Amino acid sequence: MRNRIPTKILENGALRYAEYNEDGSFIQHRYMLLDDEPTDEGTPVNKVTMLTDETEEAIWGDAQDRTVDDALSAVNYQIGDTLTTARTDLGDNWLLCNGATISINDYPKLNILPPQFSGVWDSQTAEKNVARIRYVNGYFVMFGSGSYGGIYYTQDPSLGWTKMDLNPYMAYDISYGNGYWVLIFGSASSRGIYYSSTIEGAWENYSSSSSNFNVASLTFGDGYFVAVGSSGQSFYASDPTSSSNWTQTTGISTSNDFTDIAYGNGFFVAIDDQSHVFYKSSPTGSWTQYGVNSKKFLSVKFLNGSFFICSTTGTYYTQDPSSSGNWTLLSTLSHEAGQNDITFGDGYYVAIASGQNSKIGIYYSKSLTEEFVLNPSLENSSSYNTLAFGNGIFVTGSDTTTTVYFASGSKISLPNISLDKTYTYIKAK
Amino acid sequence: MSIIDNLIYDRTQSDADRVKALSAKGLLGMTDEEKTEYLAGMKGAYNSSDLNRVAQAVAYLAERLLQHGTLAKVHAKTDWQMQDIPTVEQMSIYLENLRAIRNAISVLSNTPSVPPSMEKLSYTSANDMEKILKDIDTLITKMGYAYRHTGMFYTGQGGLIA
Repeated sequence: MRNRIPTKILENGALRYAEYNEDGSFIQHRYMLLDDEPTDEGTPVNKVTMLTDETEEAIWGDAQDRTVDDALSAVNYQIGDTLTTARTDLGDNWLLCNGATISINDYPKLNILPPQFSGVWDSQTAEKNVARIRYVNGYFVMFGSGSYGGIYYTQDPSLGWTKMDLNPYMAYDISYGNGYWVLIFGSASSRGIYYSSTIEGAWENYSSSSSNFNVASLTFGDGYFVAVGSSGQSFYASDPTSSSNWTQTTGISTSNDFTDIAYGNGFFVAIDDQSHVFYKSSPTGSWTQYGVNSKKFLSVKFLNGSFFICSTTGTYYTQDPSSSGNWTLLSTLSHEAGQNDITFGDGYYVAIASGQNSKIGIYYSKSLTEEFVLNPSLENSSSYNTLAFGNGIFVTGSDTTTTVYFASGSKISLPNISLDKTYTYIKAK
Repeated sequence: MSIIDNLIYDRTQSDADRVKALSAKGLLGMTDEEKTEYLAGMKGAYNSSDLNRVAQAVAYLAERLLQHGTLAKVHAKTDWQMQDIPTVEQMSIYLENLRAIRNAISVLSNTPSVPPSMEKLSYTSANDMEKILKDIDTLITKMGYAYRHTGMFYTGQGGLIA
């Protein structure tokens, strides 16, 4: 900033002004001094009160012809900038870098920080190892591994899980539709359905021999529950309250053992354990089958507009499952290890990989075209096999351990910076 | 009264000649009056008193400039003694101080330039150095007179409303 430096000025401070005719012709100079006898002189408007060279130097390293606006722009901290200071009066827009967890909903522009799931996930111990976690109708449902593994549900894992008052020999899968929760249970020789209008119960059930009703995976779409299972068995029903309401889909080889099913984009997509994909666009229609050049399919999901199949040789995805050629290998996700499951939430894809090498763990990426990043804190710590997202929370578990991990993409951890006698803040709003 | 009032920028050729004349005599050849005149610090000479006066004015103006928001970085040595022999580096800083003061604000069209060197300093160059300081002091004063105060004008206001 520069001060105006007049030369035509009297000793008493009277400044020279020029007087002109209306036509612009010069008349004379006059020296004028403000003589209004103010009760308060006011604040001088000059470099001292607006922008001193010292301030310019502090901001830019030199003093030039800059304005107050330049200075304000220069010191206008951006979201995510940090400031270390002995002050503690920075206001609500600055958060102390103390490692605290905050909601991204409260500080939406601070989403430049990695989501919490890229850091240390919270963990808890389940009663049993985890066979499968689904997110259905606002609830996480967790199936314990093995016989009488138990069925647990919660809307927020951090608040704990409630064990259902059901204790089948095996529980396979759960879905919700047409006002009913539907749960597949069974034993070595039978399969059955629990159904209830609320997840808390009261549950009704019916069952049949596994030779007649051999299902283990379930989804709901287009007004129907569609269940698939071993020996090529597939059924559909819009009303799950009676065994007689289930209709078997014909025309599938008994050599096909379905392992998972998903619905989206008007398609039902099922997989078997031999790299076969089955699809149909009508819940009551017949399946169409084709093979994909992969080793072993592990799960199928419909996420963010696309189907995803996780396999021992990588993850494949497509928006249109009607042709084998439509599936694309997700090259941005390391496939050195088998990928057991993938999910999407809060703008992130999160995948879990298991295997015998160093690439097992939890991966995340904001885009299918961006390289998935391996979460370092959970690398090699367990072999995860199931993953779900809901209510802003990612939950994963393993059939080799009772540890359940959960984290939130809508929550972020602030940097944790501890200094002696000063504090580091991050601009959050 | 400030150090600015003591600045000397009216040295003449005769002042310089008088110094030369007495120097030619040497102290042993001078009369008592001439010795007193010579040792008192002659106007046509450049002594420690001149260095200190200029340095004090430099420091004074740097402070005045700072009060008006302008930073002039100076390193003014104000404790020169008669027996001191200035080094090239010290004289370089001495002139650099003057440049810092002169460059701090816009000067008059007839404000002298800072001499490039203190070698073979002429009386006119000695005058120039102190005239610079005098002009800067005057301009700072006028600059202060011209300040408006809050409430006297509005943003975008064009001309004087009298």
